[in-house]
Amino acid sequence: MFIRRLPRFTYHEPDSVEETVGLLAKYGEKAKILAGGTELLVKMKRREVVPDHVINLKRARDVAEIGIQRTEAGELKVGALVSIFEMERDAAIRTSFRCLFDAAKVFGTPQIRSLATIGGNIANAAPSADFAAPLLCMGAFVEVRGLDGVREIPLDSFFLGPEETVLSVTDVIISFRIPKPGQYSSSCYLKMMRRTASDLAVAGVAVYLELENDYRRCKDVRIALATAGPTPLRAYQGENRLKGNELSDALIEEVASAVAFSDARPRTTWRGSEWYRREVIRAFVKRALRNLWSEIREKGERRL
Amino acid sequence: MKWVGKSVERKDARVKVTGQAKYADDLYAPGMLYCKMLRSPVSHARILNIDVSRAKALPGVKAVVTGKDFPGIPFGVRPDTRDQLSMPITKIHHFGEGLVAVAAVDEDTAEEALDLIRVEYEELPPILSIDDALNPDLPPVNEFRSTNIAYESHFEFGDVEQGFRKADYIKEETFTSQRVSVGFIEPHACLAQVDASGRILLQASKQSPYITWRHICRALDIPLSKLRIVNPYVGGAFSGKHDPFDIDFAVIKLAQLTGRPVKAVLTYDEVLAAYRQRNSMRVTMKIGAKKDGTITALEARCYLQGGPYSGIGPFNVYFFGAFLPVPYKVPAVRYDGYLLYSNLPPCGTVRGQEIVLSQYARDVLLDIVAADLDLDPVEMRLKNAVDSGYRTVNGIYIDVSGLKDCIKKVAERIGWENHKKTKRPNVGIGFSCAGHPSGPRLGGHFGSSVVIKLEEDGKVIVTHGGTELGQGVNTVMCQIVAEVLGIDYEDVLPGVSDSDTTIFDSGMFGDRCTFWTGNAAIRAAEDLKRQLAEIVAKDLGCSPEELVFENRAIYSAKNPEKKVDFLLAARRAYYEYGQPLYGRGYWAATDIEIVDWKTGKGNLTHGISFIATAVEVEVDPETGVVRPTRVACAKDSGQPINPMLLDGQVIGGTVHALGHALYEQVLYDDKGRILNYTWRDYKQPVSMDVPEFVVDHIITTDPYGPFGAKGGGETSTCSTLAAVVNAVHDATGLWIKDLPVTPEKVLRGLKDMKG
Repeated sequence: MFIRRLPRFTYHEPDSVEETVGLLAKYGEKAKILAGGTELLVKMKRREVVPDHVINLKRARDVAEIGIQRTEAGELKVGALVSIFEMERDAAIRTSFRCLFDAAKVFGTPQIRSLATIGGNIANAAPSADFAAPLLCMGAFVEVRGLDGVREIPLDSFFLGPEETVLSVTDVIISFRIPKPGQYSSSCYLKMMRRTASDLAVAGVAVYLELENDYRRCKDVRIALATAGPTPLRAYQGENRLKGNELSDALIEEVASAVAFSDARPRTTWRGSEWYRREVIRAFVKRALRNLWSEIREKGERRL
Repeated sequence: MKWVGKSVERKDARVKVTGQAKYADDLYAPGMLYCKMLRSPVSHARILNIDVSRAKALPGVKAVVTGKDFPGIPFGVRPDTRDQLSMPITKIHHFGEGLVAVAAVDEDTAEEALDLIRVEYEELPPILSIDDALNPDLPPVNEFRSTNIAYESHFEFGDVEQGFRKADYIKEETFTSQRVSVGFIEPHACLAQVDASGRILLQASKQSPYITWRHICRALDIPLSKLRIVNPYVGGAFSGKHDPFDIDFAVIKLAQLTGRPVKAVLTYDEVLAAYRQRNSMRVTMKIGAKKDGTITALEARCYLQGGPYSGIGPFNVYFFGAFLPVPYKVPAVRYDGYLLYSNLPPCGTVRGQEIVLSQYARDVLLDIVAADLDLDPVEMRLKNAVDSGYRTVNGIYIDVSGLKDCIKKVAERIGWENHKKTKRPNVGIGFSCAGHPSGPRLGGHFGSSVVIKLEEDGKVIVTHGGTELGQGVNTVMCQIVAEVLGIDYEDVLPGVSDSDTTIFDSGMFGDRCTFWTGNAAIRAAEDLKRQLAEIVAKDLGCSPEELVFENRAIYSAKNPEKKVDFLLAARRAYYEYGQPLYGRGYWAATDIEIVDWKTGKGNLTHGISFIATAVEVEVDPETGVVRPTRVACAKDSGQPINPMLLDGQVIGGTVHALGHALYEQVLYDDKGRILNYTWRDYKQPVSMDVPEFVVDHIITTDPYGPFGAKGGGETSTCSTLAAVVNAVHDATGLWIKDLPVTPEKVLRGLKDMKG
């Protein structure tokens, strides 16, 4: 009920992902991976999770050393152990993967940002996870190592339910691959909080928008939502209304309503009612699309 | 003046910012045991049996106590509200209530022991609402009382019927306010030691060590001299640390049983779930006014929902009513106030006490009237604001009022005239005023006292009965003493708050310290001056009366050549005459009557201080989010002793109340279990939420205050809530009469307004 000191557990510090997977195979459900610890340790102190074995991933060099890489093809690779603070400070993320920067900025507090990792945020699979919606809208892939080696999972088929993913107990997230954004594109993440910082999302909207070179026709769009259902989710109905069409205020209204009332499946809790969450999602989808549209246009005009 | 009115560095600034200050949790005693409490998972139940045998048998556990280990004597603020036990015996009263305390060699063992305790209980229907408490068919919450009405007061001043007859316009509205937590940084912590003579030493984070001391001794049935209280540094209190708590009683009893020191430190989720909160409120208020906005009468029926114990609730009921006719001229007031029991966490109060709530409801009602009568809210306030030399209808005498200047100043600072002309969409400005006592006179011990010890090196140590909670009283007392003795601020050091050497003030509340303890400090410094003057006069060959204390020297006013250094005077006292000197002083407002809380009769206090607050907000019409952008406060605290500290109090108090207005709310389910008892889920404002501030001091001279000063710490909290609500109305046209002003309420209101 109330927070307590940590329960007893056996602590492991494997040197590699392979060794980590071996430990997971050995201890199964009785083990938990420690990355930043900002969720796990609190849950353990509340006795919501009481693992016999805690495996600290941070010493596994082959995942710890990945960091943030920009490939020659323009893709972004982010190691699972990259902290939110590192995401916030990375120049490439700030300029070309804006929604990830937005998410880092509104994530917890500076203290939590310096500990928490992007891998932990996704593995934890909370419907309110701040990086889930931005990574979803960027079309990200999760690189996972399990007993059968390494495989890549598209993030939009990764989440199954609240704190539930397709990962098995022997899987470890190694990194995220984020495809190169299109030429006339930008992205953002808008998060509704009860106060300006240190808060969970009442609702969150991440949008990736790519236009044709006329700055009007939508070449590609991905819209993802936080705290709008049992998992972070893609708003396909809204996206489909927009894709291939010319942006207009009327269409933006229509898309926003489709996302809020067809895609979103929010619940009423003490953090916010279903009604309010839908209203916020509608407002944020409109705001995101309008802002991105003018941003892309301005960027293009500057280029000319 | 050399030191009064100067923003000198806080006495505790360096030790605090370097982390050297020792708070209760930093204390360590050899052989110390650690105490943890088993807490109730339900809000209302009869205790059938508590089996602690397995916990006691756990290696490392040294003692286990329950309510049965105490004498069973209830304590309370008033003789008619003694309704709380050290620890519960027959009943569980609220979620998180401490039922069993364990002392063990370390915290892990103590926590492990909690899992081995079995509590059998039979659940009772919880009393969770005002209407539940008023329903006589539901069971009483408190075992010492047969009703869930804990206390009531009924005031009638002036001719209320005539007041409403004279009114051109009458408006009645109902306002509510939510339960909020207190919000200090340091969680409750305490360390108890018992020596071989049986004398107890308690070092705890306490706001009013006197209140703690009295209540503990009563509940333990021991004389006061058996308990010594020493206050370490305190990390904020805001009225949340007056009373003794279950952990204070538990560590004392466990120390008595084991003969070893015992320490308890709460986690903050325990504080948020189970310790002091502010009453929730429902008030129906009726106002009568002339066409020009002159108030003719005010009537209020107010329910304050407390927890299972009265605590200082009766005083809250009084304060709410007493400040209905402050700071505006109200010729007639009728008030019915009730304190209700509930199975929610116990209530004390929070900064500004329930004056916060009465000023909120009345100042929103005032704006509603202004809007209906098409009057400017600033003009309306100026028309009704009290002047110097005014006696309120309930008998509170206003010696000096700078309120009108405060109102004009904030209207100017926030740009009110320009705002009215160039109405910006979704931006609003709201005003509120408030008055607050500078320490009320209560029954029982009510004086303040100060002792100044002169050191051989010409420095002095000031020991006073107030409590340094972070508000800066030690600094202010040192400034006052330096001023009177004509020595430097650096020459004056704050002493330790210790019941063996300090006569504690009766309680640290109601903006008391600067005014009451400050007056005692002046008298103590004058007493020391008198003694030094006698010694020096002999040497200088002049009369003690003609000596002046200035610039670390003592000289004759008639012949300034006759002069001696303050340091040399101190040395002469010690070395020539064998006279170590102490200055003693006390102060008490004996000229004001003790107030009758039941009828509200009596002049409560000197030095009513005033504030006007203007808040500018931006409202997001698509999400309902209200963002405070600018705040202007103008404060009449008489002559500020330390303007920087007063600024800090005004800004801090305003931000504290912005939390109450916009973010904070203790939430619970239908069984009375608290839902949001973590800092993540309990939404206090964070630094990013703080708007831009302008604070002005309207300097007046109070005839009773030290150097003309009045209190200043709590008034700003009283004038913020209404200013926010009024600003939201100015921006949107919506009246939000149920706090907090959540984005959801605003958005719903905007949608409803559009139809």
